[in-house]
Amino acid sequence: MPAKVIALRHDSKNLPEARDDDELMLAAAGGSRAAFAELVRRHIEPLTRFCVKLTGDPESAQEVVQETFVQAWASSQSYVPQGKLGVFLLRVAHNRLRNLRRESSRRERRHQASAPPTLVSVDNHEQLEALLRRERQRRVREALTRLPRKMREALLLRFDQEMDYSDIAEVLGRPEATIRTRVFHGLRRLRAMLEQERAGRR
Amino acid sequence: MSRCPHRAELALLVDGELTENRGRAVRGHLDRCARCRDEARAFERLVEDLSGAATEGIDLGALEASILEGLGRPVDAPSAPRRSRRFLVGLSAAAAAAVAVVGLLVLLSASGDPGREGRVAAPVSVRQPDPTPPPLMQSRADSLPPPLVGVRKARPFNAQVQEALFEQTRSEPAAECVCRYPAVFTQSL
Repeated sequence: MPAKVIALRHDSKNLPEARDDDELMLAAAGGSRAAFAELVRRHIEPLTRFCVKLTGDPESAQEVVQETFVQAWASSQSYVPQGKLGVFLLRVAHNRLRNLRRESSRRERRHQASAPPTLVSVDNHEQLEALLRRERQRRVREALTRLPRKMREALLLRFDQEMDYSDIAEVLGRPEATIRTRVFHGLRRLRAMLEQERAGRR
Repeated sequence: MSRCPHRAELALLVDGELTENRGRAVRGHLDRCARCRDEARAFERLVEDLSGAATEGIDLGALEASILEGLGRPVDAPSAPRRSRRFLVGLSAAAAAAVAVVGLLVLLSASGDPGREGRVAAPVSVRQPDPTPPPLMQSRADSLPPPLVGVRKARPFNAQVQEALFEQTRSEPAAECVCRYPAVFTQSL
């Protein structure tokens, strides 16, 4: 139980935007939808990015993101403020994704239909660079889905969410040394896969 | 193809996990080895690409709106409807308990007197306190609670057994003693 529940007054000093995550969560625990809406605005993009990259399926990812925020709202009173709401949300999302994986292993697995490559005209060097970068990112995401899940989630939390190892260990519920090993081997394996793919295209 | 000894450390270098001394050594090697330099650049690009956007096809605004629409009250937040619901649950439980107690009393009074089957149970009489003050010293039997109304006081079982054994030993001839004491000794008893 949080020590206190704060109420947001609607003056310029107490705007939700000016509050940190923990204060907003405490306000949400008191029933403030405005505070929770601000939290959703702050965290929806990185959380969705993580879920999309981990599942490779935007539809499932959106479902998980929605469920994660609903659960965060429902359990806002039991949230312990430690300045780590991002870690808390990722832990909830990670558990949801694990359940989703169990369900989908029973169902017929839906593969993401990757968008067919389209011909586009580029006018300048910058556009070409952006296009190449997007294509590279798409290939990395595809290769990522072929990695073992444990390596994938460790890599994403480390390089996509830019978390330190202690926080990743907290999200995944594994020792830091294990996470370090997963990141090291995952990065090398991903690099080898991309190199192999590049060699195959030649 | 020969492999550089530092090649395995490139992933750690990009991750920032090398110690200061090892990092300096590997960076020094990269200045001299073009192959490892390319590999290190490839790792750096890979890390950049891992953090790239992946939500192009997703309408985050619509997702945010649907999240906020789907919120009820926080589950554990105190609220008037929850309190009234809890009160109703408590009230119904108390009522159920009262009905159960009354039913049990009715059943007990009916089973105490088999002859009263089918008849309406008489109202339970409330025992009035005795106006005379109790004596200061009471025997244990006196201090026991009074028996329930309508229940016949039964003789203790061991008294019945003792009487039956006494009758049996009086009517039957004395059997030969089979105990380990001599007959003279038992006869003297």
